[in-house]
Formats: sequence, structure tokens, C-alpha cells
Amino acid sequence: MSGGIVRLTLRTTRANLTRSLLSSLAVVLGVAFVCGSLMFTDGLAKAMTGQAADRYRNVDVEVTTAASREDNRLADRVRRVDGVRAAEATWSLPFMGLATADGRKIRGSHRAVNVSSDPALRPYDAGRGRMPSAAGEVVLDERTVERERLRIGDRLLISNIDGKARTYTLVGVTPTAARAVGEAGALIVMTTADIAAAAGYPSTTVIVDAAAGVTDAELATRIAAATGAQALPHDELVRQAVTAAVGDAATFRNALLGFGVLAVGMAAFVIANTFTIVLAQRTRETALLRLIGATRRQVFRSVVLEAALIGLGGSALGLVVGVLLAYGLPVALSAVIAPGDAGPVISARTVLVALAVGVGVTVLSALLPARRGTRVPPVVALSDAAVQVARPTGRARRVGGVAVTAAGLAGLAAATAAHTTVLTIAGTLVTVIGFLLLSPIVVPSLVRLVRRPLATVGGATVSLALLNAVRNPRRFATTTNALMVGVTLVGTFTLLAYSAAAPAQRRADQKMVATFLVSADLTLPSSLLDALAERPELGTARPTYELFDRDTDLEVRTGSQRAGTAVVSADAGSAPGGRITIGGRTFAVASVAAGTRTIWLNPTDIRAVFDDPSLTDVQVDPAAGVAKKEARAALDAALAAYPAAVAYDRDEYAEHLNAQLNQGLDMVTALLALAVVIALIGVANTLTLSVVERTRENALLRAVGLTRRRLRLILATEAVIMALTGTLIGVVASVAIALSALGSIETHGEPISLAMPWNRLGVLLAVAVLAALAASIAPARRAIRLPMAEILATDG
Amino acid sequence: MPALQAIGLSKVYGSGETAVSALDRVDIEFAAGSFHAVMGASGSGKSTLMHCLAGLDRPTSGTVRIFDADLTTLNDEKLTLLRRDHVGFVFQKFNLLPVLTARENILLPLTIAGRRPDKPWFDQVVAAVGLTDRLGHRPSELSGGQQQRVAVARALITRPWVVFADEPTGNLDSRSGAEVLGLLRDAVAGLGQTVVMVTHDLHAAAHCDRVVFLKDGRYAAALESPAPDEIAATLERAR
Repeated sequence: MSGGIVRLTLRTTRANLTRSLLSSLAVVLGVAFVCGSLMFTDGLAKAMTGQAADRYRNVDVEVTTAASREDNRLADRVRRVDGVRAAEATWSLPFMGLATADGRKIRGSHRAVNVSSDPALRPYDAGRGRMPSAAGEVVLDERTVERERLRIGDRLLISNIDGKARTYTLVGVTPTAARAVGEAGALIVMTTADIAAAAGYPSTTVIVDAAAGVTDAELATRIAAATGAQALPHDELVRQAVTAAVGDAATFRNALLGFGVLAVGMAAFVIANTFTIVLAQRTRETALLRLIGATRRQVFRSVVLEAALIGLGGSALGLVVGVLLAYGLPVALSAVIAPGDAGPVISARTVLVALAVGVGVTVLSALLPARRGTRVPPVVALSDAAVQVARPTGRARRVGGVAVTAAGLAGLAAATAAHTTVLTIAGTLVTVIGFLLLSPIVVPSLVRLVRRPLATVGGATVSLALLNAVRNPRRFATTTNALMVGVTLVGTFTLLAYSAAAPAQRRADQKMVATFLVSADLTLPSSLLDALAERPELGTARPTYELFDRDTDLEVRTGSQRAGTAVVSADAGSAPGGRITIGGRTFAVASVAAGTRTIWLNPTDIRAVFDDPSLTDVQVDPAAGVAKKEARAALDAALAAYPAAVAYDRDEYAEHLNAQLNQGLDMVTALLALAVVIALIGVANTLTLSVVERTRENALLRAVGLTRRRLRLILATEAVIMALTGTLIGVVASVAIALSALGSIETHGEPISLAMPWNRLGVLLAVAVLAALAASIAPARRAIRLPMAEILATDG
Repeated sequence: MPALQAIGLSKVYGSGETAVSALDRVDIEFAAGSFHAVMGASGSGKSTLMHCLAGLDRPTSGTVRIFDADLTTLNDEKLTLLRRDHVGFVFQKFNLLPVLTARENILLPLTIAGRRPDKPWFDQVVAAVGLTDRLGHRPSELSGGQQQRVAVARALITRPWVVFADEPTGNLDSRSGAEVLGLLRDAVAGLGQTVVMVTHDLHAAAHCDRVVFLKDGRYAAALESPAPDEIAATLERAR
């Protein structure tokens, strides 16, 4: 490329700086997300590998054995091995219950570990206070202590899985987090004696401090030989932990990058559209260049160079925004990861990715518009035409589009009948392609359809705005298509998640047969029933058991029928009127219910047949004549000794179910929303650029008597109609896809019906409209400030 | 009362050393019910004068009146409404909105105002410009002459106080041009309109009752119902 063309390109890009910035905005967001994710996950990996190494501080060898050997006294046997200076049995207990002594329950997935009294065998240290040495002393992690505003000396109620709570005193705080991704809870450090008592089973892991003069590896081999258990030396332990940590971080990164790819894809779409418009407006300039002797190839290369420059700018800006995003991601994802010291890490790789994505996407997206836009005959420079007339949609495209859309819709419908989700996915893709083919005809027609009715309400302003919006059907369709795709993604996901989870209220109503429900993260201790029975304010407790009987290969659930009878699923092998044997007792089969390999028994029977069945929840009503408030107070008092158990009434339970759903939903929606934001940028681009074409017309309108306010209204209406069209079509598409998907899932029992989250859809619509209005502010301001005289003037 | 009045009208572009005086203390009057032309060489300020008289541009100093409305005292909103309801425009080209039909273009000022057209008047105007069978066509389907006739109809539809025409025949062949001039003439004679036309075409100006000449932003001369050769002579002197 000659220096002259390069200089011209640079000048053109600089002269049209606003337009170039508009084009690059989409890239900036795409690059920002990809880089932000990389920086964030790199930081996460770094923090997690650091933690992994930390965990095995002071541990020379770790010995593990299978759990089934009773009373194996592994620690004793290890100590007898030559070269072992000291050994300690360790436990790691999940699902601990934690509460303050005054009854405030601390929610989370808590884990208890022990430390040796021997400091040389301790992986953790106390930052404040000291490590536990006597019975009844614990240390908690720093984050929990700060969040719950605990102080050294506070008394805590801690319970094991079996639910029995004991009182402990907080004697220290440790800075170690030592939790994996997805575990947000406290780390409880106890003495070995306390944890052994809490666990109730022998330890299966022993940590070893080697004596002087023997290497870790050598000692590990000796121990393995002597005890028959698996023994790993320090370096191997760290290596395995680091590999696991890196793997976890990598999974996370890939998930985030999946969304990044989506954002970048959307950006590519928007850039292609923007370039098409910009080049259409530069037709006469391009023709002039060709007229005075530039070849097609030169002009094409000039446009590609411009795209590369814009992409470069986008990459640089995207990196900066990406850093901001990397700080913001942990906050947004706090449901899944505990934001630790995972500060973002900027590596050379990330910078290269930013460049590659930014420049690459912009250039690739601009190629096709560049090819079309530079195919201008030089004579156009001499003509008086304002802008090229839009190409009409060819017959082949129309016919093809109808055929493809029909096929796609058929696929979606067939998915419900044939119960294959693959058909839904295939049908969705095909329908979308078909729709995109037909969009230049269908979408503007929809707008024209509503023009008359809307004009009666909104007047000439609205009518003119709608006409202006669709005067270039292809441009309008392309802009709204991007938004439609983004909205379909968000909408389909929201509808499916919402419907599958089913309104929490309905589920709460279905589940709760009493006024109060008590549950924990895992199971409740059976002693809880006795505690409730002791309260005169509470009526008879109704327990729900869930267990699996290996002998009969049946799930056992609680049913409400008479004692001595059973309800079975169809495949349990017995019919009503017959008998079924389980756990050594025989029951009369009363009826059959929907399910797979399940038997429902009366709770008394369950307790009689099985020892210590898993209690998943307990429901209880107030006793006769007792007010709800009194009963609740009694319930809370009874539960004070069970830190892991939580009581709900119907509304609280519905809220609880909703909270989990909403958290997950919000997170994924936020990530998908990025695609929608980029599409809305596309709307802003199209409007801004289209207004430039209409400079003369707008001046004419003002001359003929259109007030500034009305002109602003026209532009605002154009923006809103673009946003609304894309959004509404997207919502309709989401409903169709969700219906097909839900119908295609094979369910045991009743099919999942579509639940419409109206409030979320309302938010989506409101966001689209507000974004459109915001997008119209700048173009409107420029249009209003038009110097009419200059524009309308002909000569001197 | 004159239809249009400019008193001490000046328009300066830029400031300081680069200041350009497009109009320099122009005093001028245009009588109602006549067909006026404003002529002058390139850069004489004739278009600038029209823009200031029409309220499209604000003068740097001086007063502009359309009948008894002092334009210089009106804010942008009021100026806009004045243009909408009481002033008609015909430009050299790009007069029409491409997305609207001929009928919709003609009715545009009324539609913006939210007023219903007076059907007999509409029919009369359309018949006067000779477009009765082209009302449903878009500008791209009309010839240049037809487009200008639509523009004239639009200018007349509000029964304005003044019609301004900026080189209305500049883009037309001589036959279409003569048609458009005839329409403007008829508007003055038949409907009592006041028309002010900026032009450089001698033969177009010869249709007028009065021709005003500008030179270097100042009033130079005026002729009553001149013939083309008189106009040519005065133009030479006004160079």
C-alpha cells in the first residue's frame, strides 16, 4: 500500500473520529470481557495454587487408608516406623453447624479440621490469639470472624452432621482460607481430641513430620511398606493439589470464556453493520478516489487498514476496561466463589489475546462490507444521488428463507411430540437462520403494520419516525437482528430456568403440609424430634425420611398412609392388594404412585424397620389453641441447640427456595446481558449514522415548521422502535424455544409447564427502551443544532 | 404595510480578522401581493438576505419584520411556529421527504401542526399545480419538474403570508422551469400571495413585478417589471 493511501486512511479515520469510536465500542466491550475473564481467572489460579501449597506446610508425608477398617489405629502404626519423628491423625468434617452462643446461626458450608499440639506438625497458624490446645477451644478463619463480628473469647455452638451441638470458645483467628472454589463457609480448627469425639469414627488420614536424616520420599516408601496404606511425600502432595487447583480454575475460565465468545460474536455482528452504513455514506468519496485513479484493491485495502486501526484502539481500550471488569467479577460471582486475595493478574498472554481479538474481529467483520462498499463505479462521483438505494431482497433469499424457517418451526414442534431435545436445538438453529434470511422483509413489514394504529395515537411525528426507521429495510433488520439474538439467549435461559424450578410459592405450597418446616443443609439429627416433642406449644411433628435400601434396591420415602401399609411405584414389583417385604418386614400394598423404584412407608414404620434413617426435614403445626407467634418462639428455642437446623414458615420457605434460584439466575443473566448491551450499542450506532444521512431532510423539516422538541421526539421514536422490535421478537422466539424444550424433556409424571417471569421480562423491555432513548440523545442534539441556512443554501 | 421589511440588516460570519460581512446594513421593503426577485452576483448576499427574512438565520444586527411580526424578538420555538403556519418555502432541490408520497409532502406543514386540511383548498392547490393524478407517488417516481410543483403546492397549502423561493428553477429544463414560474405568478395574481424569489436567471426574474439587486452585501438597485435586457444591464453595473 502506498504511503499516500496510508496517509489518506489515517486522515479519514481521524476525521471521522466519532464514527470510528462508535464502531469500536462494541469491540471494546467484547475484548474487555475476554481479557477481564482471563485476568480474573489467572489471579484465581494463582491464589488457589498458593493455598494448595499452604495446606501442606509442615507436612512431610501424608498417609491415607480406606475408611472401612474399624479401629485401625493408623497413627500408632505410623509412629512405629523408623524415621518418623511425630505423626498426628487428622479429620476433615464437612457440613458442620455453627452458631453463636446466643443463638445466631451462621449460614454456610462449614468444615472442621484439627491441628496437632505439636507446632511442627501444624499447617495453620493463628494470626491473632493462639491455636487450640485444651478441650473446647476452637480457631476460626479470618473472613468468618470479620464477617460475623466475632471476638476472641466468644462462645460458639458447633454441631457435627449428627446434629449434636457442643459449646466451644474462640481462642484464635487464622488467616488461612483453605477452601476450594464453590465452598463458601467457615474453617473451624479444633484439637485432635475434640474432633475425634465429634467425628465418632477413626481417622483415615495421618500427617507425619520426618526425623532428621531421612528424606520425605524415602519415609513415604517406608511407611507405605510398613502399614500397607498410601503414603505421599510433601512435594507430591503439593503437586497434586496444585494440579487440582489449576484444573478448577481452568474449568472456571472456560465457562467465562464461553460467554466471552458470545460477546465477541455479537460485537462482530455490530461492527459489520456499522461498517456497511459508514461505507454507504462514503460512496461519493470512494467514487471520487476511483475516478482520479485509485484501483479497487487500493480502496479495499484502505478500508481494511481503517478497520485494523479501529480494532487496535478497541483492543487498547478493551484492556483497560477489562482490568476494571476483573476487579468487578469476583463481586458479581460472589455466589459461587469467595472473593479472596485473588487479585487480577495481567500477563503477556492476556495482552496478546486482547490484540488478537480486537484487531482480528474488527478486520474480519469489516471484510464483507468493505468488499461491497468499495465496489462503486467512479461515475457515481459526478451524480447527484444522496445515498445508494438499499438493495432489494432477492427471490432466492426469500424462497430459501421461507423454506428454512418452516423446516425449523416444524422441528421445534416435532421435538414436543417425539420427546427429543436434540430436535429442539436443531429446530432453534434452523429457525433462527431462516428468520435472519427473511428479516429484511418481515421485520420492516411488522413495523409498517403498526404504523397506522400508532400514528392515530402519536400523530405525524410517530408516523414519520416509523417511516424513517424502515426506509432502509436491510439496515433496520440487521440492527434489530443482533438485539433479537441477544434477547433470545437471555429470554430462553430465563424462561427455562424459571419454569424448571417452578414458582417457589407453588413448590412451597406443595411441600409444606404444616405451618412450620425445619431443615438443614444435609440432614437433621433424630434427637430433634424428641426436642420438639418436649414443647407443649408445638403439635405432633411430621418427619420426612429419605433413604436407600440396598437389599431391595428401593428408595424409601415418607408417606402419609396407615401404618403397616405401603405405596409403591409401578416398577417395584408389587400390585395393590399384594404384599411387599423390606427390611425384614412385610407391608400390604395400598396403591401405586408415580415414580421410579420407590416405596412410601409410614414414618413410624420407617423408624421401626431401619435404624437411624436420614431425617431430611420436619414439619410441625402449633398445638391446638396456641398462637403462631408462641409456637414459633418455642420452635426457635428448641432449635437453639441445633446450629445447623433452620425453621421456616410458608412464606420464608418460598423465599428460601426463590433465593437460591434467583442467585444462580442473576449470575448467568448478567453474563448473557453483555451480549444484549452490545446489541443495543448496535442500535445506537445505526441511529447515529442514519441521522447523518438525513441532515438536509431534517433541516427541511425544521424550515417547514417542525419544532426542536418534535425533531427530538422523531429520533427518540426511531430508536425505541428499533429496540422494541428486536426485543419483542426475541421474547416471542424465547417462548417458542422454551415451549419446545420443555415439551421435549422426558419427565416422570407431569410435564413441566411454562412459567413466565413477567417481572424479569418487564425489566428487559424497560432496559431496551431506556437504552434506546439514551442512544437517541446525542444524535438528536446534533440534529437540533443544525444551521438550517447553511444546509439549505445553494449558492452565496 | 409592506409584507417584508429589513431595517439595518447585517450578517457577519466569523470574527476579528477573519470576519466576513455577508450583509451590510441593508434596508429593504417588499410590498404585499407582488412577485419579487432578488438578484446579484455570487457572494452578493442574496441567499443570506432570504434566509434572514425567512427566519432561517439570525442577523447579527438590525430588524426583520413579516407584516407586523418582528422576527428578531422571537425565540426559536416561536420562529418555528411562524414558519410552520405563515411561511412557504421552495428550494432548488431536495425539497421533499423521500419517504412520503406527494400528497403527504404537500400536507406536511399541516400534519406537523396537527391540523386537518381544508379539502376544497387542497383540491384547488393540487389542481393549480396540475398534480391531481400523481398524489400517491413518491418523489423518486416523479420528474424534477413534478417535484418542484409538489414543493410549490406545499408552500401554498398553509395560505402563508410570504412564499420564499431559492433558485426554484435552477435544476429544471426550460419548459418545467417556465411551468413553475407560471405557478408562482398565478399564486400572486390569483391568490394574492407575496412571493420573494432569489435567482440568477434573467428570464425567471423577468416574470416578476419588482427586481431588487444586491452587491457585496448592500442594496444596489431596483427595477419595476423589467425586461430581460434591462435586468442584464443592471446586473453588469452591479458587478
